[in-house]
Amino acid sequence: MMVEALIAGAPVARAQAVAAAGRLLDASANPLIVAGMMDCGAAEAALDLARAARASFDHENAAAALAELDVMRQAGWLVATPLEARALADCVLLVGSAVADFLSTPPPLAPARGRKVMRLAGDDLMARLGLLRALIGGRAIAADPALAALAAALRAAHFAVVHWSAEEIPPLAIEMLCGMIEDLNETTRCFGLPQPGANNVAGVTQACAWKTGLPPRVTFAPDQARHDPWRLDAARMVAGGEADVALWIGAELPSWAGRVRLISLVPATAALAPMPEIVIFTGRPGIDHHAILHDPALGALAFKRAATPSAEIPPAAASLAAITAALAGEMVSC
Amino acid sequence: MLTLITGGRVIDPAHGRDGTGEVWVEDDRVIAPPGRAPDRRFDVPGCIVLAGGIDIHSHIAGANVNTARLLLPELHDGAMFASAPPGELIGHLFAAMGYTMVVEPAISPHVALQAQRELAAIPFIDKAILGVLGNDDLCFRLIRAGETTALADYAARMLAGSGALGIKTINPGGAAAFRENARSFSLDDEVPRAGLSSRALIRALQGVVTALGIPHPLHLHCNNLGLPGNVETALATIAAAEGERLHLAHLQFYSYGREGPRKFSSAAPRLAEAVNAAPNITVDVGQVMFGQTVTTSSDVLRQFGARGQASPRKWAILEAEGNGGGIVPYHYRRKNFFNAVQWATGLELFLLIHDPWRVFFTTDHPNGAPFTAYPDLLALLMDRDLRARWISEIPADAVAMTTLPGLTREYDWPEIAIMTRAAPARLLGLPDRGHLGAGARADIAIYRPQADKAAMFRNAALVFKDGALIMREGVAMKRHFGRAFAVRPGFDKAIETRLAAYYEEVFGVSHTAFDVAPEAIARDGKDPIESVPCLS
Repeated sequence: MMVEALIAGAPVARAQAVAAAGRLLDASANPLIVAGMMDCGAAEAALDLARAARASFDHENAAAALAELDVMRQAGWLVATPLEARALADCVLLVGSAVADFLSTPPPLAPARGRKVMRLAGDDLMARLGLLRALIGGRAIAADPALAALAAALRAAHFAVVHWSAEEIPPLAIEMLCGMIEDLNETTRCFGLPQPGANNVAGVTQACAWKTGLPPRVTFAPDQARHDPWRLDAARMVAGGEADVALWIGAELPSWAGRVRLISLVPATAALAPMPEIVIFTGRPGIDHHAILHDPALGALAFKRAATPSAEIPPAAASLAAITAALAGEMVSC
Repeated sequence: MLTLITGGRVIDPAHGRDGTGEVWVEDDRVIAPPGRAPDRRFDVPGCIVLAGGIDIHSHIAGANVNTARLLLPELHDGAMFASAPPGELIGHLFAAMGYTMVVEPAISPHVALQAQRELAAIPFIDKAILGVLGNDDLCFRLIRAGETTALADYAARMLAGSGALGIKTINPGGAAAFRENARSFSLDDEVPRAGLSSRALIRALQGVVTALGIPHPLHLHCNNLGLPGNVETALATIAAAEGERLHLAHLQFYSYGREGPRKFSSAAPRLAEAVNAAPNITVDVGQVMFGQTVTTSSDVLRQFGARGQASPRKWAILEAEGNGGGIVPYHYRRKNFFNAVQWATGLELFLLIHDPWRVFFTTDHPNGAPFTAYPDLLALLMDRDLRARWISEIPADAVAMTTLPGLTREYDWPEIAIMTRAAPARLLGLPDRGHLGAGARADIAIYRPQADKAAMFRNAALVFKDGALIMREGVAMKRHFGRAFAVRPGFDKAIETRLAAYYEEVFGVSHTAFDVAPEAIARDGKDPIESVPCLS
């Protein structure tokens, strides 16, 4: 028979682990709920639990996503979807080395224009981005011919996209690129194409926003949802001893396992070292159960059917909902 | 469960009913008096008993709405931001006002899954989306080729994939022109490289709606939204409909003339006259109310142009296949000449369009105002003295650009019941709602009249959804989840083959990747989308 859950490393029934998790969260002074790989349904359920437990909620990959989001929510931006870029872009600037090569065939909706794909990378990336923006802005500066050619190509393009990964380049670079894109739109069309982070952070951010109005790094203590990108950084809170209990949902354990009392919702494939206090085995999104995940190719949420559906391993969302119910039951009985 | 609501003034315009009487409910339906004793009874003397409210146009879900949330954390943090609240609050606040169904009117098929998932998480109310077409390349190709049947098949397939209740088109051709670096786009401008005008797109999509028998007429966001003098576009658009059914969304935003020293005036009287004379036209108003909001629109061309007016000074423009969108925060100020003219213009439209069956109550949430302003707006429509007080607080030069001070009409309860209940149900093709006759869904709102009409509308005395008492004076009594509604017109499956080839060539993905699977949005294993029959 499949092991459903563990308490202190010993097999228990799932219901027993759920009840124990509820008790642990209820007794916690400052609980954390942290997402590693997590589908949108699990994110919704995790946020319901966070509200019930007055916990804070974070995603392992939130740092870069929030740094990028800060560019938008401080000044604004013009961005495009990957499908639109594929269909129409006649000029693609790849920034840094983390983003993959872009299809170089002519854009299907404007084939006569052809497509120029360029990459700007290297140790002096920031300095060269600054020069590029100055060139785009028409400043008379000395720059190497390659950079000048790149600026000319962007200016001459009908529909350019600038592709970057916030996990590689700093927020200041993204801000500079967004400013450059804004400048280019004075005379033509150019859009940013941010590469979403790993572990469905883009999907979780969307779910967090529709559930709370805010992105991850949100807390429900004491009452209404509040967002603080620095204070609610889960890794920082664990390192600083600010959190006494963490509930983790992911494919593997977090890097900070062992430093806080831990409830883990992980698949049976996860390596359990150090052994968490409570483990509830969950299905893998899109493999063991259907899932909604952000699809980087579509630039949108997509439904992923279970590859090998398993009725025996519930999705994380179901276990999270059960913990929420257990928590509510205990609170009523108090 | 047999329920009796008795002693209130029951207003049910669909059945010509207005008087003190009873409403009987068994389980989730209104029934004829059954000749049995009720299991429970609500005595509501002095109260007004209406069907649940239906909002035909509020942006409450989807990627653009979510971007509006993410753009403005400072307006959410620790406080409710009415212009883009989380789903939970949307359901609660609408239900508290006596609304039991809301239509999210602008969802591109490629992002329908997110919208439907968001809607599924909104408690209390029923919901639906309108699917956006008219800026997509395939639509252009089919129209240009004169493939009318294939166009209808394509539209039906996109509606089926999205689970949509009708078709919306937003500045048709304008978003496509934006991609080609256009800075403005009007009714007879041609989409660069597509060779089609907005007029041609509107006519083609009207034809699709008729061919498919979709009950809701084409839902149109016109060109030139927000610009001085745009009344000419709106008048030309009404004429362009050539007598076929057409719904003009948020009419207020294209009711502007160029009169006066500031070249900005209300042209509401001219437009209202045109609407009054055109029985094929329905409109919703998109009333402006004063305060902070965030404009959230798939009219990417317009939003790009408006970003210089952002307040706070930030914005997000998304260029996407189909329409994309733009999120631009904005603060409507009572003492601002232009904002005051906009406010008065909307009220003029409400008061000058005679037929409450053809003018619908909206603020284009959140573009004119958040839906939480509905109670104040309803009070303004029902009370000319209250309007006079508001008029006295706006700039005199703005008042001079409108006819509002001379309008003495006050909406009465039957007109409110038509505009917010009976007419929306008819417009959307929902025969079992918007009324209180036998067989109606037991969505019922009961208001207790009081001096402060806005307070009365903000928190209905009692609200029933599907027969369950869900709200009492703004306090949730029972958590309840409604459904989504969609039309499912048939189509020739041959379109699937064409779509597969087109999507593979242009986007490199399967056209089925965007379909809203029932399992993706189901709650408790129930079918999440209820079908609305098409017209035969």
